[in-house]
Amino acid sequence: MVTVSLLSTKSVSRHFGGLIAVQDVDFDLPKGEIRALIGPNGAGKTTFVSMLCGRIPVSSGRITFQGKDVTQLPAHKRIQQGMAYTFQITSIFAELSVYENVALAVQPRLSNAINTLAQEVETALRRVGLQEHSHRTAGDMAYGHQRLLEIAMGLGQSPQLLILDEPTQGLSDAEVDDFITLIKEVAQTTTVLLIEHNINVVMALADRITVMNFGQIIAEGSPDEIRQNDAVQTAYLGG
Amino acid sequence: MSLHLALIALLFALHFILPDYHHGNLARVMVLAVYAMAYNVMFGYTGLLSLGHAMFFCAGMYGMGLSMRLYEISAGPAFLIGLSVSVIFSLLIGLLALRTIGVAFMIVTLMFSQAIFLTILYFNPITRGDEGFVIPQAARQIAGIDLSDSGNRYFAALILFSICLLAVLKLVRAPTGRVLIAIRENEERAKMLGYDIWAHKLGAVVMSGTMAGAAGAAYGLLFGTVGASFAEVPFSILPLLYVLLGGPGTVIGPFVGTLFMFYLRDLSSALTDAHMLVAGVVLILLTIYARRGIMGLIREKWLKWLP
Repeated sequence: MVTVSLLSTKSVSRHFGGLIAVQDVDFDLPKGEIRALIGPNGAGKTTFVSMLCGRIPVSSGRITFQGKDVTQLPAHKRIQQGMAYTFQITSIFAELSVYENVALAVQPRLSNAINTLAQEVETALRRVGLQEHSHRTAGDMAYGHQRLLEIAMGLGQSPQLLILDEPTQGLSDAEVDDFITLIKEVAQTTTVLLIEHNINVVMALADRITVMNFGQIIAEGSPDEIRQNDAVQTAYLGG
Repeated sequence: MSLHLALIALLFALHFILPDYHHGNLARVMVLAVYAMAYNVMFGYTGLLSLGHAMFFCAGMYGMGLSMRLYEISAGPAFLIGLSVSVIFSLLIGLLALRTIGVAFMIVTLMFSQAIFLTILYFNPITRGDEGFVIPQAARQIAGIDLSDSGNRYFAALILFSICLLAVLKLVRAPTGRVLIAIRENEERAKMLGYDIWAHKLGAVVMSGTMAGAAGAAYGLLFGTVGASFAEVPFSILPLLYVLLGGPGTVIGPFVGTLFMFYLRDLSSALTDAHMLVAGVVLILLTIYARRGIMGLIREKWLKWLP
């Protein structure tokens, strides 16, 4: 099978003053995959994906998305080209209604067909099971529902690449199961990059796993390979 | 929509029934409400708090006034000159001031506005500084209509007010308006949904500045005075008070706030010289009991759909 690369990086680094958060990362994500990015706290996962979507600039290196060099593009331009990013710490428009939140996500790609907006919003909400909550104020909902709203916003963007930063944090077990089902379905049309601590979610979803520690990739492979990898065991359990 | 048309119809009807004194007041309130609506586009919808809006008002007022005084241009074209000056000026200020955010943005706009005030004073021979100048009654005519006549003045104010009210309504109903609100609510998230924050903020500043300039030019034309007191700090704070009272982020709020504040001042100065004290107390009460202003409270309690 020929895999087409959707996103790749070439020796991407990020320093904060003297601190090296991410160092010389070469990363390649083929189209259609669910990739999990795991690693101990402080491994540089969030910093790394923040560079991918343009929230923070790279110190050095190059990022290619859909065959184009996007290293210098501001975040909003990368999003327009088909990336979507959901925040680790829930970031919604708390004062606005659930509908408005998703409408804001859907609207940019409908600039010529604004009359289908309501329909698209409804679809995105239905997929995460929030269709009944459309008119509620987003910030008044339970935390789990706010997480789902974030995911609905990501879906509403209908992206090529969906980056989820710890999406199941704070969800109940039942909600996590629904989440796994949802992402499996999403992955049929979208490439997913998932930062995740819940190892059950990772094992259930990921086609491949990339492991980071101290700002570098220490291992990459199928879930089984990663499970048996010594370096990974050491990183997680201490040497 | 119907509510806003009803307000316009009501203001139209009031022309025929109000006694002279209140009729004159209302014309003034409508022009000042345009200024407040302009402020609301930036502050109420986009979340940009400017402390220097007087400079935009004055860009329109002096753009209009000076072209009449120095070059004897007639009122209609002079108004358009005032408007054009406002567009260019607000674009320029936007490009510079939007390099800052939050408190720095407030300070920068305050300082730019002070610079404009001092410039007006410095060029005293041209601007007549503090004292200002009068636009002669004979010159205050557009297409043969005498704007100094109280009836015409009222209608001119009403037309400007209606245009701006409907323009703001259209803006906030449009996708762009939704983006401005998103920027106010959570700028980082809005950026990560693919919106060009900078361009939207700049657009808001230009729209707000131009509308404030239109209010300034109209004020000069309708009431015949152009003066540096309109460039002073208190005149920048005024629209903030109007909007806070009336309800930031509501289309009608700025008008309600302007009307409320105008009559609060009017009525309290009949009682005491310290009318700002009364205004202060009312403001404190409102911030305690109606933190989102009068229309904001009404929206929260009864009319959820209110734009």
